[in-house]
Amino acid sequence: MHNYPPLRVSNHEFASRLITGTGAMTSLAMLRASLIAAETSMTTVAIRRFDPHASTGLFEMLEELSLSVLPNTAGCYSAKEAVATAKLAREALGTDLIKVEVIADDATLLPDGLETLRATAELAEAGFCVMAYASDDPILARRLEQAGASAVMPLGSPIGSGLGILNPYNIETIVANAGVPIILDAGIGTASDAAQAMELGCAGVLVASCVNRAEDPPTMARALALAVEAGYLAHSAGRIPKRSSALASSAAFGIAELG
Amino acid sequence: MTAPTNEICISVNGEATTIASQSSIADLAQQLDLPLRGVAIALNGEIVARSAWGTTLLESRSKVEVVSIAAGG
Repeated sequence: MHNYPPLRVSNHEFASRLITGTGAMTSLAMLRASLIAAETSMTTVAIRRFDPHASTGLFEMLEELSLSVLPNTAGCYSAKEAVATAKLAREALGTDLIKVEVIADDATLLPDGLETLRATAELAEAGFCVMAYASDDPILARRLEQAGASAVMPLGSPIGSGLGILNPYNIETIVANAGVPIILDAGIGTASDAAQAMELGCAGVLVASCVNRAEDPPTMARALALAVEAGYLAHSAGRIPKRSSALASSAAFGIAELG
Repeated sequence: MTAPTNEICISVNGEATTIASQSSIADLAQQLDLPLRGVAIALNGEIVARSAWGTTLLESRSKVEVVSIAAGG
């Protein structure tokens, strides 16, 4: 049970707004414990050459947990590679979901906006439900939506950095102008970052390193699940505006005269 | 690698492999003991739908890529 309505992406519905990735996981057993603790509905996986041991074990575990699988195009550096990888993922998994991730280089791991836009347009045209991983640029987010993305996934900060949300103003602007769900992806370091993403109006949060590289991954997964709920509720509640000076919360009249 | 005349040499995920001539992708899947779900195959860069595995024949020097899911991203 979650304290929020389900996340809708195109014609898909997910009970949880926390998507936990498999990247950087240390063992299948630990990943399994974290996925359960996160109470997630969906996890993201890469597409790689078949490995009789690793591939089958992961596939069977995700089936056992009845999780939706969001294949990604991690490892792709061009739209062409991403499109080919997405089609292989659809054939292997029988899903139209794809997280388009086109990285510019190994050093920054930042997404290549132009290649991501090309891949998004081509895959949306081919009938995929594209969730596009992007920088936190509001204009690029708008272009991705116009190109057919079913969800846009701006980064908070670089992959694996744990720096949280470096430009909350951009995330807020992206959310304000979007007609599709905005899911914060990359850079989450701890629970408060996930809560902040939701407070800014994001529809969900995707994490991987934050959980899988934590000292106690299942406990961090649980913390993030609670943070996403807290952030959603706080956003729904409508926070007070920030002011530069104090504003009394007690009545100024009726004060007893003492001495 | 040279194969007997009734066998052909193909590449599977970059590794040289021999298989009986006139083998289909379904035959290769059996030889590799591939699971029934969760894998996809590309032949010479083109995806072959599972429904076409039985009717798609391998040729000498065919390049086969077999992919599945892995932790990542």
